Amino acid sequence: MQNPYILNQAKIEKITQETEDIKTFDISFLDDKLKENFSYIPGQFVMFSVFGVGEAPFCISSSPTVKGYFQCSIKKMGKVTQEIHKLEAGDIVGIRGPYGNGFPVAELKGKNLLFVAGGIGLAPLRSLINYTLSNRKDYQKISIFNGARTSKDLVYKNEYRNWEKSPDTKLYLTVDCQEENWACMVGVVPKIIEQINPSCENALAVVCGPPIMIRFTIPVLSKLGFCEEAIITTLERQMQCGIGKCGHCMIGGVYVCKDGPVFTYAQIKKFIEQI
Amino acid sequence: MEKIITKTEIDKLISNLMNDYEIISPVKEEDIVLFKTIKKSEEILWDYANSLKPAKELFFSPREILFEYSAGGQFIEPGLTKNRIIFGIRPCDAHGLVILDKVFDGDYKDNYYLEKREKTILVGLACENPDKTCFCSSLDKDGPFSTKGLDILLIKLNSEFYFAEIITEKGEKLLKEYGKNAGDSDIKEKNKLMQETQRKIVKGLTVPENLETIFESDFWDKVSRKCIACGICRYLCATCHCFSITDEGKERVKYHAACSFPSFTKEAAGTNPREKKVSRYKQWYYHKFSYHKKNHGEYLCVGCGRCIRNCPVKIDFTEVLKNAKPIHSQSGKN
Repeated sequence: MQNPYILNQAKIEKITQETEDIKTFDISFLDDKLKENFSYIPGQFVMFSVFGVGEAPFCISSSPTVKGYFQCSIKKMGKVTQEIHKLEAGDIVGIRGPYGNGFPVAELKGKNLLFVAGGIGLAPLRSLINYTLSNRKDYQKISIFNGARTSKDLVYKNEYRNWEKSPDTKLYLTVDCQEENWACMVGVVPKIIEQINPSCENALAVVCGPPIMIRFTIPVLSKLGFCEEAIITTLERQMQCGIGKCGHCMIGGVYVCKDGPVFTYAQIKKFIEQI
Repeated sequence: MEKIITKTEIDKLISNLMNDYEIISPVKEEDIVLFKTIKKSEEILWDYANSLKPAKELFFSPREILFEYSAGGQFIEPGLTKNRIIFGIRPCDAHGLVILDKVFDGDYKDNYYLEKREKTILVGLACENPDKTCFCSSLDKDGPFSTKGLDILLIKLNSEFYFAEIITEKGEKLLKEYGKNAGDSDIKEKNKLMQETQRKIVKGLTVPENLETIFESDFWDKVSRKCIACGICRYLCATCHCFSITDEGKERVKYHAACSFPSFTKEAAGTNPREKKVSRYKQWYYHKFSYHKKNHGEYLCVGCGRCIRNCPVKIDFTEVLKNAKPIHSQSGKN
């Protein structure tokens, strides 16, 4: 029997400093077969181990269309992430996964897509954005709303131009307060959506960000006519096993790690106040 | 298959099994009943209500090494468990294992638990004198005489004779050379005993039908006030199975965790979806009697009563559930 807790050794290939406290790690498995065959769906996550410190879950921020390595974008937060931020290229870490359901990529086909991100919430969405843009003809209009507290907190800045260059794709960048030399929008994400007033016609909205942003964005989307099934979001919880056993991520009977982390608003409406 | 076996035969059987199996049974140490590996059959405690801690700990350990990092970058898994026999496990604890099997099996298999289950024979001992906090018959119709999950159930007829209900092939093999087939009068005697014991169970569990709809009720604020969130009801539960994983030096360790503590759900960002005691208090009830039922078709409870017997502030959750009803105060939602 295969042991689900056993790790696969992987090497940090490259580290990109995204913001003061967020780094993107390019990771490749030491095992050649696994390196080539590792497949995942945007929205899935891995358990990332620093030996002797512990492990924590992180969504995969690269698109599965990228081969040979994958990326995790990690904010310096707790015990494990402090240590992850000390890692250097060439260091060996432990990875298990991918876990979780991922975004319903098949259901997104032929739809107008609204991607709504706040802060590091762009990480799972970036996987999906780059995935949809790699298969651009499968989707209709794509609108990306990306907000951060300040311009210094924006991640994947050097990819924005590529996104905007894609046909029928719009990027709305916003920061919470006006700054010097800031030419894009100002205001929290839900406000910007209200202002742009996107159509709900044949559209799906995917919302990722801090719980407070999710809670304020959902009513705005509902008002625009998005039904509960057309609003997709990801939940974050403390996770220890990643395989639906340890109980930490359970909310309303659902295991976020196994049944999620991607849910429609219809699925989590009951316990939206608890997220 | 049903047999009658003498106490002397049981002692002989256990002595003979010592070479091939690790024999674990309830023993008494400083007034505490606990499961231990024994060296001779005299150590077995044949007369007890129940052990302080559930038998689940023999399969899902309070602290278990998942693997060790070697210098060469390998992950060294612990060695396999020896074949074991647990003599004298109570039917409620065996029922708990049947419930836990479904949790640790599934899409992802937790082999640490499953391997121990595979390698352990369970010889149960029917309850003669259930405690006043026991309510196993609310969760299994045969209650103190239930054979669920067992290979053999022993029922004490008198100081010399035991009635053995043989449930599995493993059990049959174990008793092949022992005892004689039970006759009608033995079966009658056993059934009589069973009915008498069932009558000794005074407590019952009733899960209110409106449990789902009263989640937001202020009732929970009221009843949770007394709780000190110590976690004893989780740790001593025969079915609670939450755990955490951490690194201790070169070892990756899995250890019991309890949803009663704020740290259980606290996220690295500092936010905590179950910061309030009442929401942690509710999680236990809803996981056991709503979520687990939805996910696995049964309650996450066997009626062993440990949570009631050992609660330092004397919360009897069966009473809490009995009185569960919607209350809405002026102060609003929790």
